[in-house]
Amino acid sequence: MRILGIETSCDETAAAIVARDEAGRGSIVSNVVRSQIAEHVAYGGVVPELAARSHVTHLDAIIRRAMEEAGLGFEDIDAIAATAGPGLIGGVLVGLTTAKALAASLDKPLIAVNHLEAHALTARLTDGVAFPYLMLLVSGGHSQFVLVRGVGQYARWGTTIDDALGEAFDKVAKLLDLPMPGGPSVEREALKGDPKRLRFPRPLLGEDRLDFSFSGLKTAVRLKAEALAPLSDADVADICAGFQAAVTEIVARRATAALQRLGSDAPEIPPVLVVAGGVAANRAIGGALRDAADRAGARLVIPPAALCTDNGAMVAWAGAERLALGLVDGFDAPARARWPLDSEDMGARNAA
Amino acid sequence: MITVLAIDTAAPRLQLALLGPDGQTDTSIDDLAQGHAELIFDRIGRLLERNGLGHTLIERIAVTTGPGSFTGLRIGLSAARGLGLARDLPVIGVPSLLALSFSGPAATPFSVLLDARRGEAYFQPFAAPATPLAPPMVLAMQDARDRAGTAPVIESPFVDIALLARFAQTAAPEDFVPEAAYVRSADAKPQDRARIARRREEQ
Repeated sequence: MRILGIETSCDETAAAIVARDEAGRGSIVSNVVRSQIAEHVAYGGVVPELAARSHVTHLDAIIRRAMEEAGLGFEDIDAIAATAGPGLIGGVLVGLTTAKALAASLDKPLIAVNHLEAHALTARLTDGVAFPYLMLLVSGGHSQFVLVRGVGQYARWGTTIDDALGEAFDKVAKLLDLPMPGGPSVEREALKGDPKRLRFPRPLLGEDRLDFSFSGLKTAVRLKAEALAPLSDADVADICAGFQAAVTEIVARRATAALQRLGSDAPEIPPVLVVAGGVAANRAIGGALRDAADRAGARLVIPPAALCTDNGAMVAWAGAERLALGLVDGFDAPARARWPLDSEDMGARNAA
Repeated sequence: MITVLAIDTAAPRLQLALLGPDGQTDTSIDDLAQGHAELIFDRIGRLLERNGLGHTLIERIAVTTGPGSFTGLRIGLSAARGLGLARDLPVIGVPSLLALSFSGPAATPFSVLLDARRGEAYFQPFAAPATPLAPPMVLAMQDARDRAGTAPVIESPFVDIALLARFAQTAAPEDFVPEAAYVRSADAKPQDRARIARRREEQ
């Protein structure tokens, strides 16, 4: 089957075609992403109203391009999938409504995809990972450990109690006047810096839980930067290096604990840790996660960076996985700002 | 005669019209402050069905482009552009104040004046239906009233959806692009808050 996937939940306008064969193997036929970052850079972050306006202007052309690059017509598509949340509601509405229009007009099934489920299932598209596995989702909007038992079957083991990790990177970048997106900028500076010169706190790490907290760390970075101001290039690099060292340690230690829990809860299964979300592209964090996985005897799967950040292929794939189980949605499917993976509703959708 | 589906979600109503090959118009109107996106395709489906038509027979889509509810506009535009994309149909985007002018008097100049909240109005003067004397604008409410003067004023935000379908039947697509006319900006302020001072370094 071939699925068109549409993603508009933040500042990427994206569409892709993904194929899934009878054996459940996926392949990407086309994958088009238009970043709005240049439109938001003057505002120091994504402006929801501007993002929604831009999605309306560009989405149909992006879909048309994804179809052209695939060399397909709509008659070759078996279903239309779109992110229905969680995300910036104005943008989600644009993508979901466009998907409904396509599905209605073409008489194809609609799949209203949970954006987090799309991230969670990407490793099955790229690496054919079997259920169950542990997922660490670290992005601009989310930081959570999720046990992925099956399509629609999720248990959240830990989440951030304040900022998301990608958000912390962005805020540090903004504070230091580094270009957006903040993650790659901070990583670039950190490479030049001394991670030992400035030590930042590791909030919550003393507690025996799988949650994250990055807000206090961000404040500590601000206070330190203010104390050092005016900042030299070396100061900026050292601040980035110290910050990245702190979050790397936090993520690695939490991952170790999560893998321990996986081992004791399900000793019979070979442990797999899948990393998803834009922060998965950070090499320091990726390296520390690899060490943590190696020590735990677990397989680590990090999909290619372009599939870790927001994209249409992951939405199309999640749509394919749901459609293969007969899970489709009606034209009354709502757009949602909030939609946790372990919500009752995902369960109800399972049972459907 | 080409078959037109017209959509207006700019105001607290979900309005649809189907102008069929026989020249007859059928409409579907729901009073609805929110939830247009959950209902619109059910309503389009019913409208087609009761007229014995299907999506494959629609030849042209019409949609209002605003000003109006930002969210409402985006739902209407996304639906219209999605339907256009699916079957490669022309999508006629009609500015909302122009669409409202279709209901105006034929023999005398008049204005369209909509409450834009915050003490402001969306305003446009017309010589006759579909014949504007100036582009749409945002004015202080009192200024808009002064400019309207004693001539007739249309203040209802509800487009006559059947007239929209008829207008779109012959409108040139290149003159009516389906881009939102929000009229009011997004209210975002550029970030100029002082960041932490950097030392100027000699390279």
